[in-house]
Amino acid sequence: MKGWWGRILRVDLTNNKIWVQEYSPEIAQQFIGGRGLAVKILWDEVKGVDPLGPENKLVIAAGPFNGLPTPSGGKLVVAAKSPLTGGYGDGNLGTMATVHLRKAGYDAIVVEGKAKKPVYLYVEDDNVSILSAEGLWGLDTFETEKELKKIHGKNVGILSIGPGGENLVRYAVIMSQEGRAGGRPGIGAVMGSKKLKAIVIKGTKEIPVADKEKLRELSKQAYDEILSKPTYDFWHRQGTMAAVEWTNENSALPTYNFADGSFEFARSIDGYTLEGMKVKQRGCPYCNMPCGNVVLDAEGQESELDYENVALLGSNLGIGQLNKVSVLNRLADMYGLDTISLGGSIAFVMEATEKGLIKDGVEFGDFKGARQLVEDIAFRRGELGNFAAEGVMRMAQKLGDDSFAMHVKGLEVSGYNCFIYPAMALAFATSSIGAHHKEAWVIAWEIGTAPIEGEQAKKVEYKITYTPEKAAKVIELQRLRGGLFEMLTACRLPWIELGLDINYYPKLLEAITGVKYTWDDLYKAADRVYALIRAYWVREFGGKWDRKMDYPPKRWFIEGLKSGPYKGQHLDVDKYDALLSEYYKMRGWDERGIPKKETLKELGLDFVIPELEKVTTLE
Amino acid sequence: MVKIRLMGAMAHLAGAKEVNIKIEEPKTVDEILREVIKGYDKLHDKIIFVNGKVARGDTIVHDSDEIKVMPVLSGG
Ligand code: SF4
Repeated sequence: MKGWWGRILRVDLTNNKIWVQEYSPEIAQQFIGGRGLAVKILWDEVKGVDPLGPENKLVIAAGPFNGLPTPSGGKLVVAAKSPLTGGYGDGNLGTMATVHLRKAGYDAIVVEGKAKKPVYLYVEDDNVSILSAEGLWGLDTFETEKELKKIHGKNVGILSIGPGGENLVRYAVIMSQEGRAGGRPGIGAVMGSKKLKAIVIKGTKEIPVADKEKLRELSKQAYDEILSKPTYDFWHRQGTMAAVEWTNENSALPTYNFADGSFEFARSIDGYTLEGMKVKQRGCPYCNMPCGNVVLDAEGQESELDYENVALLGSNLGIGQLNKVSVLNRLADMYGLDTISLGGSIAFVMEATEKGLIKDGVEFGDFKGARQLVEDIAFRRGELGNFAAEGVMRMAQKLGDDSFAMHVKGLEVSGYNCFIYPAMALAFATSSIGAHHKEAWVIAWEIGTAPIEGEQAKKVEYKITYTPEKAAKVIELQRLRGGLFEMLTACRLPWIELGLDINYYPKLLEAITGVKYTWDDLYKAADRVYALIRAYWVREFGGKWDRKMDYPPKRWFIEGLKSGPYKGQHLDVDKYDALLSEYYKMRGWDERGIPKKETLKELGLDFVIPELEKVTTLE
Repeated sequence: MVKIRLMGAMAHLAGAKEVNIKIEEPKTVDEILREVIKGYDKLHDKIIFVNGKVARGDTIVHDSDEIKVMPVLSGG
């Protein structure tokens, strides 16, 4: 095989065992890598287990692009059964660990079992050891990396967890390089449950490539094209932070726990304010459009910002000073907490406080209170810290009120408020991991293609519509963003933000692997992965799986926007339901959202049928 | 006067967040923005509003109208 090693490093922490598993070229070609490989492994091996028990498996999966000079191809997927949602969970992060993993001769690492005492994994090509992490346990992720570099030198890739993961906060992430985070649905907590503090990798091998010359040529062209884009300079200035102005203008900025879509202090947390505070820029490996904007926060420390962090820890908490938002963001990174779910959870506490459902809670806009709560969550201190460490879904269950619980399937909603955006709501509701935007960021298309009646734009307004094209667009984006990019594994931003020609990707894949993929092949691979992830959810939920799990949060149906030109408007539940049916039909899934037998067969997922038939009937 | 409000990369390329221009006769959005935004035709996607309502490049603009133009971006 070229492009893939066909080798997975396996580690059993209970029995201190390390071995290498080979996998077939057919699996490589069908599932490509990253998320594809991860869900295949979890489907085969992680059934009906406690996500925080030793039987869960932590999958670290790279793809064919990683470790090679491909545009923004320095990402890595981390996956497991999620302790936050109970279903399939994954996330990606840009990290040197992906480069070293592949150069060490592996496509993935799977860790199972549980160590008796804290350990970390050290991988140097074929030499792999499980070492004591007793001196590291309790350190934040910044300190952990520093200590590990003292031991192993600077030329290594490191993944680690902080106190968040150690203390099993349900939305703890895996961190790398002081600002790169992955695994929103609690993949860091899974790592913590195994008493695995870090993974350190050093790889020195050459990755086998089918056509090196072609790869070099294509990459050079793509890198040059990125630099030549008219929007490149502005991207360099603000990166994803430009979205604050954008979402605020379009009533989509999460504000006061998603009660509103625009924020009175948006200007003081936006990309222009960022520009005035920026001290440096960081990026992921092999990326020539780095977007990690680093500022000095209100405590004089470096904090790396992007849009999601600022929306969820800023406007969503009613905090309108960027240097203070930056403190919360830096703490989240240090402690290894997902900034989005953390912001969602704190906002929920704030609203519950406002409603009098919690005594001695935290008020909207209270930076000090929020700062304290971040610490209490990371260390699971006190009643409130423990409560909020469980995430929004469990807090709402405990309070018996889900009218303001902003999550889907247990994963907190990321930075787009959808009172007037049904397609975006559908994207959140049908995403593979819960309410995350990465798979189908359809909102811009939704606004830009809003219907125009009559000849003059003057007669037209943005109208909420539920046309079948919206379901089709969500699927198209899921195939590309949630499918192709998550399998390769590469960053989608050169294509989305700067308009890099997407046809580079199949060409690069062919140069690397020697396998020719048509767009149909790639769509089919993506559909295969989506169907398998859906089957995973259905199997793990057994008889409890329900179409309602593909609904967005209630708030978007029952309340309207509080201000702005679309004041009072909200989604319609019946129309949403009809849109969901369209989505299912297009995917070949039944009315419950379960893939039909015929669909599974077409996608080469016959092995799923007998397993699913143990928990439900298939159409 | 046509008032043009520019957001994000559009403002960067125009060198201003707001531009006012006088047009003698009705023109399309594209015709107007081509003069204001550097490399306008090379931009991969944009969202346009005229007088607060969704519009397209071929929408006709009159002298007292307001255009708002923003890029398509993804926020991460
Ligand atoms: S664009 Fe940003 S997120 Fe994507 S690879 Fe580059 S630095 Fe990483």
